[in-house]
Amino acid sequence: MAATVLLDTTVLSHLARSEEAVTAAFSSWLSAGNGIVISRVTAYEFRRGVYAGSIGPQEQQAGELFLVNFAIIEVDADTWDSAAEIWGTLARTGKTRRMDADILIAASALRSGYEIATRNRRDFERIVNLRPQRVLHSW
Amino acid sequence: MDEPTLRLVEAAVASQAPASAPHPLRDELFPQLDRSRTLEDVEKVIHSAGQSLAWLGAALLVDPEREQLLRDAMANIVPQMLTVQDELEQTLRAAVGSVAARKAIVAQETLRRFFAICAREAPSAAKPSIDFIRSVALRLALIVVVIEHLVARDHSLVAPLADKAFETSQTLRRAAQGLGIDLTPWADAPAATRLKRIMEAARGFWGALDDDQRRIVGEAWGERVELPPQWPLPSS
Repeated sequence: MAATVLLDTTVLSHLARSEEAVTAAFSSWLSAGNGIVISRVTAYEFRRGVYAGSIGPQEQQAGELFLVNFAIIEVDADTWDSAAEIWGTLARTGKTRRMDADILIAASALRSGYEIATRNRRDFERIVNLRPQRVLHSW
Repeated sequence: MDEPTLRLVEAAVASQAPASAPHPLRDELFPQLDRSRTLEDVEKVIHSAGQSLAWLGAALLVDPEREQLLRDAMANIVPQMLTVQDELEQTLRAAVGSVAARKAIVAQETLRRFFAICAREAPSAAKPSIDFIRSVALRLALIVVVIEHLVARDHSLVAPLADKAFETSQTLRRAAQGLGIDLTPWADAPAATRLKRIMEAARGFWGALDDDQRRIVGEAWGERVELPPQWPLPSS
């Protein structure tokens, strides 16, 4: 059955660089008839990088023409609440520093029933282990 | 070059107007376009056509009960909008460069996705939302038809029209999203086509950066969103 994976920012940024391993995993995923989405948080992080490079309008537009290929899942009120719950649980068992974006991205996926693809397996594993029925791909 | 968007709009016209009537595109829009010298002139022609052809917006959002012929035409032409993209992009790239060409193709693809969904099932929503989507879809269709028409004749106006087409396609995408319709480009295309389009866009972006820009962008992507460890308390 076709599944949908939510790409985290590490995967999207490596895909933007045409990094070989990510491109191969991405290609296999699409070829199997599966879907892809990203979170609004990842769109924010992607654009943040594009603007940080002091890039001119042509390069910014090229960045936008890459981003436009992905459906963006909005971070709604329920997702924020779910992320807070995840953060609280993680805080009782270890670090949460520098994990807000990952938690929001994972909360978006968990709420919508999407699988997650990341290159930051260690942090996402801690989050996804709270919902062990969810699938985590390490691309 | 094949112009499937034009043929699709013509099918919509044919479903609504008698064959003997003057054709609103070939007899009216194109002659006005060919007399246009500036972007402002072309904008006026498109705007005026959008107003006088408002009825066409309704025809483009097919009522499956009434418009079997148009539905058949859409089912036939919409896949051709996909197959013509490589050739159209090549022509556009040679005329106006890769960024403008990609913008025009994304706009045409967004329109194709919209028609592909409409051909299966007309969107349902409150009238103001449907009216807005119809008007945006019609404007986008007209801009794409104009781009396809002008690319072989007058390159100078195609690049700014590609900007307009892209902006309008994103307006259509957002409006459709409000109705629960996903117009992500190539989402329903064969996997190889979708992969090719995404990787071409990736190379178009990353290849446009110099080493220093790549380093700065990469560093920014490596950072995480972080909220302050403790919100400041109001002073008492």
